[in-house]
Order: sequence, then C-alpha cells, then structure tokens
Amino acid sequence: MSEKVCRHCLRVLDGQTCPVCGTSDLAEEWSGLVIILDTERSEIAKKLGVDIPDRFALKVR
Amino acid sequence: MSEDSQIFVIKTTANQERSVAMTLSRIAKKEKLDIRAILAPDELKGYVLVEAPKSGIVELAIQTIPHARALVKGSSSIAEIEHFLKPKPIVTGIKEG
Ligand SMILES: [Zn+2]
Repeated sequence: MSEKVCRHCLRVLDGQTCPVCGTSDLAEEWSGLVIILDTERSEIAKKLGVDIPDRFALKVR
Repeated sequence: MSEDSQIFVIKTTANQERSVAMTLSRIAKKEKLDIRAILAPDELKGYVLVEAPKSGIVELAIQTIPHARALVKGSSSIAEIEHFLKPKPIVTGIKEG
C-alpha cells in the first residue's frame, strides 16, 4: 500500500505531512482501516475519541 | 432524534476489504446516507463492518459496489466489535469550531 499513516493520530494521509498534527513522522506499514463519517452519531468515533471525520489505521508499525 | 447505531456485516471478496470500505464511504458521502463509520480490521478476512441505524441503508449502498458480496443477516452491538478498536489511536484532542 502506498498511503502512509501519521504515527501520532493514526490518520491515513494522502500527502507527506499530517494536516492535523503537523508532523511528518509517518508509518509506511499499518493495518486495519476505520473510516469515520459521522462523528456526532458514530459510537465507533466516540470509542476512538475521533472528532473529525477521516480515515484512520488501527495499528502502525 | 437520531436512531441508535447498529453494526452490520458485509461479506466481501478476500483482500478487497479496504476497497469495499473506501467505495462504501464514497457512496455514503455522495448519496448522504446515514452510515456513521466503516471498519475493516485485518483480523477479519472477507468482511467489512458498517455502523448505521438500519440494515436497509447498507443493503442499498452495497448493490453497486464491486467485491461487496452480501449483507450478513442480523446485526451486532458496538460492544461485540469493540475489541477490534484496540489498541486505541492516540487522540488529537482537537475539536472543530
Ligand atoms: Zn496526525
């Protein structure tokens, strides 16, 4: 997979820098994918503490 | 008032879990469907989990998705799938607005 993941917030990124954390500390190897669409009503978003809809990895290496 | 979330399970072609999740999210956004979250844990081969209030929403959405084979009958609770969410991602603490 070519997409990378921010090691800090686990966001799946298109670019080389996390727009939320501002870091370029990215993981190339990651597993699991969670897509949060509705932060207001998603129980999964609440469990993960996600408050901005986005794609996240479950684990990074 | 919003309805309670349930977890529905989509059976997918093996190794197409992420692609199904991505396509479903695109359709949900485009069609403004009440799909709240989509989960594709690596441990769960051939399945994608969907958080939504009703099965009909998911059933309709997967009709046009390649590699989404069927909706598994019945639903699960969040508690039943919670273990897939661990270890927890580090939260940013940044809120919108
Ligand atoms: Zn980040």
